[in-house]
Amino acid sequence: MPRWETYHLATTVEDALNFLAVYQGEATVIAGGTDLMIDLETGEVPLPRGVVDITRVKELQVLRREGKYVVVGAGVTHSRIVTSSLLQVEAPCLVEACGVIGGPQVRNMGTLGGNVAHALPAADGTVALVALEAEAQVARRTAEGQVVRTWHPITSLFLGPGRSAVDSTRELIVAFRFPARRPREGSAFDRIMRPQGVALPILGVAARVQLTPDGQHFQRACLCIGPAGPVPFRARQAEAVLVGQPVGEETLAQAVTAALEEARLRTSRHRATREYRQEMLRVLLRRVIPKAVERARTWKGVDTP
Amino acid sequence: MTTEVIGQPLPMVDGRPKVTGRLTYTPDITLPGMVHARLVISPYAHAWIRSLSVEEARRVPGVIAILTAQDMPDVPPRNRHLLLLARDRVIFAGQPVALVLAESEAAAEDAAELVAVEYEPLPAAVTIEEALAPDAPVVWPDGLPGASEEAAAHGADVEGETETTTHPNIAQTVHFHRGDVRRGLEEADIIVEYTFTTPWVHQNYLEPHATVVQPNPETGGATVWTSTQAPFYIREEIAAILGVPESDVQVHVMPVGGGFGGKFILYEPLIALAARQVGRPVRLVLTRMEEMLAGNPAPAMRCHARLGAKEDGTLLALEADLVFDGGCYPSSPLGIAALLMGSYYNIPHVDIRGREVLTFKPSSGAYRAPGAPQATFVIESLVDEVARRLQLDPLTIRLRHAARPGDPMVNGKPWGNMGLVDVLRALENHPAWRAREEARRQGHGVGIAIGGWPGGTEPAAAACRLERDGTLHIHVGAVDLTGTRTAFVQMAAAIFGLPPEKVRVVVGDTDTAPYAGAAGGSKTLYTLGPALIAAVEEARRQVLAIAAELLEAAEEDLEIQDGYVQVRGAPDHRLSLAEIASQTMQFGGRFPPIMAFGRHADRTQSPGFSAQLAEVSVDPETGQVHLHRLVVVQDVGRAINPLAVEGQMQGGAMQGIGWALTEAMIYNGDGQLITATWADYTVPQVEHLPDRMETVIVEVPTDHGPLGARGVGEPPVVPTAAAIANALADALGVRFTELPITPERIVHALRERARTA
Repeated sequence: MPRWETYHLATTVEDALNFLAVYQGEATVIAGGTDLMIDLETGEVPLPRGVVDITRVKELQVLRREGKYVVVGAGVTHSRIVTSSLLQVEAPCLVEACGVIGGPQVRNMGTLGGNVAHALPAADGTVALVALEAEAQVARRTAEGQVVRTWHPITSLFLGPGRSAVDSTRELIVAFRFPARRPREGSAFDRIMRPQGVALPILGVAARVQLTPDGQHFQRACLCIGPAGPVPFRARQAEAVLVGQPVGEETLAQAVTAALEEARLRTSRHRATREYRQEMLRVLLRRVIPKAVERARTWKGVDTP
Repeated sequence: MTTEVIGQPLPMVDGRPKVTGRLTYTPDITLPGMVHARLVISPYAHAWIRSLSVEEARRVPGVIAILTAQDMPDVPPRNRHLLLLARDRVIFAGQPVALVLAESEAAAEDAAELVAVEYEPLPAAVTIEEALAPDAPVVWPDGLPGASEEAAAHGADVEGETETTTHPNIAQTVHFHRGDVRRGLEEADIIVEYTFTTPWVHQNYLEPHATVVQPNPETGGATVWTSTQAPFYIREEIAAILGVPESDVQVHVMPVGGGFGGKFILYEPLIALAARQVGRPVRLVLTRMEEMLAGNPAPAMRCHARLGAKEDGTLLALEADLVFDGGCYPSSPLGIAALLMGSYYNIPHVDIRGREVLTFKPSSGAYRAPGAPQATFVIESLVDEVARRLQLDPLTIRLRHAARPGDPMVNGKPWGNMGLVDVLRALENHPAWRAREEARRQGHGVGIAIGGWPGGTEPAAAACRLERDGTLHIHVGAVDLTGTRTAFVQMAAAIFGLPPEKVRVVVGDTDTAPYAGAAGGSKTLYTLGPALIAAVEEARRQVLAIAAELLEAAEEDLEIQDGYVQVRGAPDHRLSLAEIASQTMQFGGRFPPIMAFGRHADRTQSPGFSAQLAEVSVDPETGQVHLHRLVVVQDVGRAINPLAVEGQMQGGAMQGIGWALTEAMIYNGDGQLITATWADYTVPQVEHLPDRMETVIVEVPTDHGPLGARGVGEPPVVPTAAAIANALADALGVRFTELPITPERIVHALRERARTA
């Protein structure tokens, strides 16, 4: 009994979307398959009639700077992100996040697009992308058969745990883009795992901060926490606390208090209690924000006011 | 005897085929006409089976048969492996209810998903507390079907008193006592008292359970390939279920990809019955999830214990209420755990009461020193806490009370020849112990613990013959789990006078191989070694007798060196072993072939002890533990092959790290295992290794083992969890009583301490 009727190796975005259209919602997209195959195996996702493999679509493999953006194709694997010298400079938080996903085999297969498409509130790559204020380019086929590509804020892609606004039976995430590193800007990611290193994290935090030209105050701040609710959580109150305030212990303490108030931390049985997560949120913010600040201070560009 | 080869770190004789993937394991066996089997397992921990429909599953192309309880003999399920297929009630989630047989694995798997079973779920008692409640659901409402035999197979015949049970879920009890524990506790200046718990833990061998059975239509018997530590036991049980004489069942001794006590018997009888039913060979290989759901893991323990001592550290009284959660069958190592807990130290007043409670979970199996890591976690935490509170040296207090050979165990029998004191002394002299204050100054904690295993015995035999090319063949029927074959080669080479590459160990099957017991209980080398030595010595005598005639010299003037028999002092006057052998295997030859046997039965155990030191540090914010050092000292009697011995010590300690910090099978309130994959269950990984793992071999020879050797496999896992817990207590001033000691438990304990301080 074959699992599906057709396994199609697409070569272009158009090709992939045409395949999905032919199957009218009964086909799905596969990239690394590191999440999808498990979900199919456990029955969490119904077996599709057709599967379109997008790992050969060149457009999805882009990884470069384009003007004021950095663009990362949805098909780029975690391993490529981890070894990218561009991202090392532009988005160390993404490098750190993708570096702790799964084990080496999973990182070699799994893609950033898949990480986002799965729509889990604590997906490491996703948490980093939210802190980078990334956008996702989604391609879909119009009724007339035309393929259109549109950019969306990444946070608009998440409807709930495991529920994505991108319909993988009709649409395709093509790429992500986020603003290239601004002057005096730095980012960082860290997470707390259960004693092992493969399953869902207890808590992950990503931060991107920009300092004022004197290097003493926060000019911008973007914080993402997961899991702290049904979707990846932007800690906007904590961000507001940081902006305009001097870099230092007092500001950090206030930001931690604000984050603890706004984050909806829960007990997940046998993974972590709410209390432990609160404790760990404190620890992670106190590690991640100073690290982002430290990186911001290593910025070597010429300051043009 | 040329002894140079004894004590040499020879590489494992089967190492190369193993690492190059060329060794044939049971799942690699494919027979003409072979059928693939897949289990249909219960999703409920306790339920009535209301109906079972196989019609849709049968329509899957390639399906040959779908067996249910109706196709099985109605034998009383006195043991887990005789549950076969569930008849009307399931008693654990993962219990097989049907078996699909198909032409391909894929077809079997597809059909298994289509077998429609209608259940009526029943309440299940999952924890010890639930099972002991007055109105608890009872696992065996009509009485226990019978006791497990595996405990006995591990040499756990410990002779405690049993007591009348009061609750239908209590499967067995044990009571050890000496002195007057009440008086002892009254006289104590301090009493430390805790309730310790350890979870279910899985052996996590790489190779899952795998079985191939080829039926024999002539005899009604079968030929069996199976990943087991106990081929002769498999033969016995399959013959019984098939109703044929044992001689009509042939079990091949297979390479086993890890057993650790979990692979004695499980689904072999079921597959033998299935093969007979369809008249074709049948293969079953468990998936990893089936292993987790329906294997033979180590049982959970809860123990409330008190240890009383005088101010000077004299241990006076130990009282313990020990409970094991055996799962759905009496299967836990209750007696051995209670015996070890009460016998490491000379404590005048002891009272240990043990109970085994049945719950709606799979029954437990042996796991490397069954019962010992749990019991040792209790006693070694208590002794350490006494030392800590009295500010006494934890090594000195142990040395003062450690049992010496001849001291009574808590069952009244004397300890045999053993090196408990010797391993403590070796640890005392180890740089890691001597530098402990320096480690503490860096904020590290240093903890020690001891632990051991009494050792098993079983009769065994070996055969030996000289081949025409001068190679010596050793025939044994034991599974090689730990490098025993390599040790056999070294022993035979040394005794006979051959280079090791001229010795071959031939592992046969139950038809051809001399008897050997299960490879378990640290007894393969210990019991088979003396039989092998006797066989090789006899073969040597046969060779010398022939050579004496051919060389026209007296036997006592001859020696065997490097494959030649020569006259002592006249090395030119010699014959090669090949020349001698060829004279025994030719048309019209003068001499009988060289063929010798050795037999051995000795019921004296030779206990093996390990002392370990752990050096840890903790991230106080996250509770993450860093293991800087783990020192594993062990008395092995004689290290025939130190490479294999050190491998055992390292592997055992690594599993101990899992007990201490990472491993737990967690069941939810309905009896569902929620850590059923390796993503959720933490097998220790490279990142959990200590920065330095150091092994120290101590050799206190025993008169009863071959060349002084004693069992090596079990002791190194025993003290590790306790040593790490004691190191954490040293680092943080907190006593951890629950395994595994997770970061969250550490953070919680630190917060509690800050709150109460």
